[in-house]
Amino acid sequence: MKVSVTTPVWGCSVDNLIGIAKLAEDSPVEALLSPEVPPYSALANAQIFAEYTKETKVGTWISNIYLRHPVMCAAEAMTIQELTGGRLLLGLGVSHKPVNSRLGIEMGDPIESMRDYVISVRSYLDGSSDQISLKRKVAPVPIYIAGLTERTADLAGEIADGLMPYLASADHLKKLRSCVDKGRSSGNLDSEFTMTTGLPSFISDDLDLAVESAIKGLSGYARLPFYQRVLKLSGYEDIVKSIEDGMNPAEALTPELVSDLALVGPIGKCKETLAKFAEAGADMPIITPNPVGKQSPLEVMEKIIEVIK
Amino acid sequence: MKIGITTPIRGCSVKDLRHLAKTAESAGFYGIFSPEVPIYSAIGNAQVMAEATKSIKIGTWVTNIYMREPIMCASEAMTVQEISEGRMILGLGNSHKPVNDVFDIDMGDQYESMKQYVIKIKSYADGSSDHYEKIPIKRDLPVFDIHITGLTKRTAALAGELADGIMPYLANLDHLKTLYSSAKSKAGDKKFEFTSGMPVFLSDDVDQAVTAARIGVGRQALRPSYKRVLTNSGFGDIIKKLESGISPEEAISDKLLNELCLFGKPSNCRKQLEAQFNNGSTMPILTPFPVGNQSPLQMMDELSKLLD
Repeated sequence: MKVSVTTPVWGCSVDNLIGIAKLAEDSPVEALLSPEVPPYSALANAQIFAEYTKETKVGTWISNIYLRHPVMCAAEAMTIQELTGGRLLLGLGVSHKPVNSRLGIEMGDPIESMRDYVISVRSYLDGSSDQISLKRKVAPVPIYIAGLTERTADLAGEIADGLMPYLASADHLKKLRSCVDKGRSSGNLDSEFTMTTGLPSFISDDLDLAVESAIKGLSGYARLPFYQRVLKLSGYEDIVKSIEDGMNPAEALTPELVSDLALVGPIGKCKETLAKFAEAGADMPIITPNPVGKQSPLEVMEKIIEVIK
Repeated sequence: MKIGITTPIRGCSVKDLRHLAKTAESAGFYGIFSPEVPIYSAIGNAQVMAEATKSIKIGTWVTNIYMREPIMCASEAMTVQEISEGRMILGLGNSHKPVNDVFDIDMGDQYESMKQYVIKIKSYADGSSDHYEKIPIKRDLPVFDIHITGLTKRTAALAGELADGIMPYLANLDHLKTLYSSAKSKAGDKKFEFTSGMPVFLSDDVDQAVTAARIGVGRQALRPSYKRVLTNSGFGDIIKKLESGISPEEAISDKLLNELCLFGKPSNCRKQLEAQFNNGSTMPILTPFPVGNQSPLQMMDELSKLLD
């Protein structure tokens, strides 16, 4: 089973990114991916990984399509692809309405925006766009898209090389997989498709502390509409309803929910959760690191590698 | 004497970028900047150069403000600033209408767009943006310098008001003086960089260099913003000739080349460079163009001879 890892969602120093990249390179991690929460750029971070790795894939999990013109996204991706000799994995997403609204960004129809963006980026990457006179020859860049619903999974199957859901239960993942297959049959891509699933991790021998950290860590996500939707689709309608009714997510989220959707607790338990998602159809789980207690970014990465081994 | 150079306008490989940056550093150039012509990213290139060097200033010349949301431009510039330990200079420009039209970009009011962009970038970089009230992630870095292109008195004044430097291009000494004066009137006594961008065509084969210069400048001259700066520099008649279809080889005069470019043997270009400093430029920025079949590395070798 291929397992990938992200760097911390809330960012970290360049020195830490380099340290994590070196740890990933010496481990079974398939790909090291960077989130994109400004003032951090996922592509700039991936470029750092590219400079400090030789074999591990690098990528974005995920770049917000509204923050760069597609030609600039492609340009930056091509520099990383050139640096790595073909190890880039470009994850694209629409981020979240509250995040984009704060930046004055009008999202339009997110699904159609994503479709247009992916098609444009691909045309710049493969040189087929007639908008660019300069050509760069790099290996094809696989494009993955974030998708939490059946409609986006269908779109991913049609136009992308992979799907990146997050906080989806194993059952919901199975549904998304079948939508991807449907979309694949309606599109004309013949590349290998990779079904990923994003799994937040809170790894510690102290289970109670890990659960507590997970509830606290995931409570912020539970306020975002897209994640509320995926939680509902994953069978947690009641919990989302109570949050919508005003309950503090940190009080609404349960130990059962976080243990179902995340890697929580000792290494052995986390391995079991990982296996559950592989069985549900995840070709490549993507683990996002979260500290339990005072774990540093490098310590968290070491724990994740223990789970993957 | 600070002299900056750019990497080739039409891009080059990552391997060449690293080599150019290292060579520029060891040759003694003050800074090396990347242009931004898609399908190349100036900030992505600057990051490559930051990784490859230790002391030379790294920057963009110039990043198109319409290609990234300001928060992403700031984020990427901050990463280069962190990697380079404070050597980043972010050059910002509006690019050109024909270029932006190709990418379906509505430029709006260029002056206002630039003003708002710079204000936002600064607030993201120095942590003062109210964005951080909702997402309290701050990066503890020294702020990077921001330069903006300024080809007219109005944009030069904007640079003086908001930025740390001005990046004109294709302006003759008289027009540069005017621009610097406008910038100075707003910059006051603050630390401010008065750069002067010059196309460079270096070769011992002077005839070939002159031909390359006429063609190279001729290709750029009809961009609307360059038409304006060339007209403001006293070359309106040449613009008219080019617009009427006369070839650059015929239309571009010796006077224009002598006033705006460095060309020919590097040893013969030093007087022109000195004239830039005497005119108030604190950092000429030299943009290399190939003469004949010169590769990016061969162009760099010629540039290095300017410092011999």
